[in-house]
Amino acid sequence: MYSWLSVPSYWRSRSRRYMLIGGKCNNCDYKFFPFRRTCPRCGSHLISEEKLPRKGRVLDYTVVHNPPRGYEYYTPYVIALVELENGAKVLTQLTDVDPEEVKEGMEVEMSLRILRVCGESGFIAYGYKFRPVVK
Amino acid sequence: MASILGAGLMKVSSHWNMSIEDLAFEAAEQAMRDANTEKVDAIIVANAFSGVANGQENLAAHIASNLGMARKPSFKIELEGASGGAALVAACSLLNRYDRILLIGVEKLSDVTSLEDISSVVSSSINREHEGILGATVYSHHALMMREYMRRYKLEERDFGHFPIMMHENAINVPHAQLRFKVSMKEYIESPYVSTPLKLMDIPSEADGAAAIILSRSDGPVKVAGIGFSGNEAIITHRVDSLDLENVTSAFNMAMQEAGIGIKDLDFIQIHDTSSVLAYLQIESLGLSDKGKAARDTENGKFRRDGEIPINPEGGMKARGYPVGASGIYQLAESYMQLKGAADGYQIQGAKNCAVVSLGGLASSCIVAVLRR
Ligand SMILES: [Zn+2]
Repeated sequence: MYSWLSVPSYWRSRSRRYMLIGGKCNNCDYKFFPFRRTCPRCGSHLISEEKLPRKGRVLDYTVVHNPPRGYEYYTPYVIALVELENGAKVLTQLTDVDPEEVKEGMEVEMSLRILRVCGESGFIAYGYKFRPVVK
Repeated sequence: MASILGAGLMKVSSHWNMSIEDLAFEAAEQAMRDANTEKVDAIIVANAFSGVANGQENLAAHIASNLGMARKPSFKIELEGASGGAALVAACSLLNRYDRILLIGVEKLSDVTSLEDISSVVSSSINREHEGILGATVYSHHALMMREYMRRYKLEERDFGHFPIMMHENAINVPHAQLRFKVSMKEYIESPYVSTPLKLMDIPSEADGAAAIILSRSDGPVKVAGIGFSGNEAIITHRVDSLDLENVTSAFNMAMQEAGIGIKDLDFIQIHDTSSVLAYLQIESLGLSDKGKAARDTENGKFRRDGEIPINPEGGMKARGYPVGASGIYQLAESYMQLKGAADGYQIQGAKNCAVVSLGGLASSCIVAVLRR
């Protein structure tokens, strides 16, 4: 009951989640993620879909020690607020990095990964995570 | 104008032998006895998680039936931590139709017995489809705000210890408080991380609780003098500035304006301290401290029970305890007792006016009520 993840809910948002498609306001030029049909900044309804850049930098981060049900396997993991190159903000897990090495301002890029495997159904949810830019 | 005729509350704790209906019954009985009434015209239940934590919906009907009031109109209001504040707003409007309304705040979380499941339940308040699926929790959201606050105002982790230390100090004399013991800065610093830099000592421990008040159109000992309600973006990445709690400021201003008083007239304030950083942000948004200075003012004793403007004289969510959906009704019941002079052992002498801040999510909803004796 507590770890509920519905296949249809996952399925309907998958393309935006795989492609990092957010919203762009045609009134004030605000870019945001996740997509919705009204602008969080000015309230305009003139919103178009916008494929967001795959690179950005870490604004804030946290190492999660008390995961919700279904994420124990990954613990401790890093949740970060990333500012993309066009200014849109994305909430994400960081991967391929030791939690100790994460820093504010760190450059990161998107990567498609397994988000979780759901218990008895065996259903595997994929989505974006971000990893340090390999130079 | 609405009046509060009576109040009741249970100790915040793990009430293993009581169901959600039992808890509601206990608080409702106390409030009815306190108001010296046997009859109400409607019931509003404030609760956040009965669906996900107890598998119980249609909650208001079950609670009304258990009270022997199956024939009365009943409603459940859910707005996470702000359920109680929202119930008050709804009740004040419904007084046009019903003369006497019983407001019950109730939460039953001890049925959920593992840390992972509790984390899932309370994290159902963040966006499931876009945030929860990433493994984000309500605590990781608080933690991100804390990190941002530390960076912006150049603070250290220990600066956040002053608030929980004060809350624990306040709760010692409060019989209905969950955590009636002192904590030291050393204990704060050594407290384990929930989600870095957020420590276990920064957040309440979720628990069972029930509180109730009777609201009426007719004159009573405590009046609801003003109400303000304003929201904020519910998804963290949609906020232009993640630390901007402008809605707390505007809800507070609305309530104070309606009450026709200024901040100097307030004898104490109840805030919704679901983390130390959220407490500091509220203190600043209410205009009690300059931006980034709430930690310093807390350390200097400005908000102690004997300070310039006391905050959470009962210990707040941190130490009185945090029965989520019931917490707003706890704040109202406690304020009623303070204003009536019935807060034996933790009384603010001569208190006449107070403000109650009820928050949902990370301030995605803010209700402020000004109460007057
Ligand atoms: Zn816009």
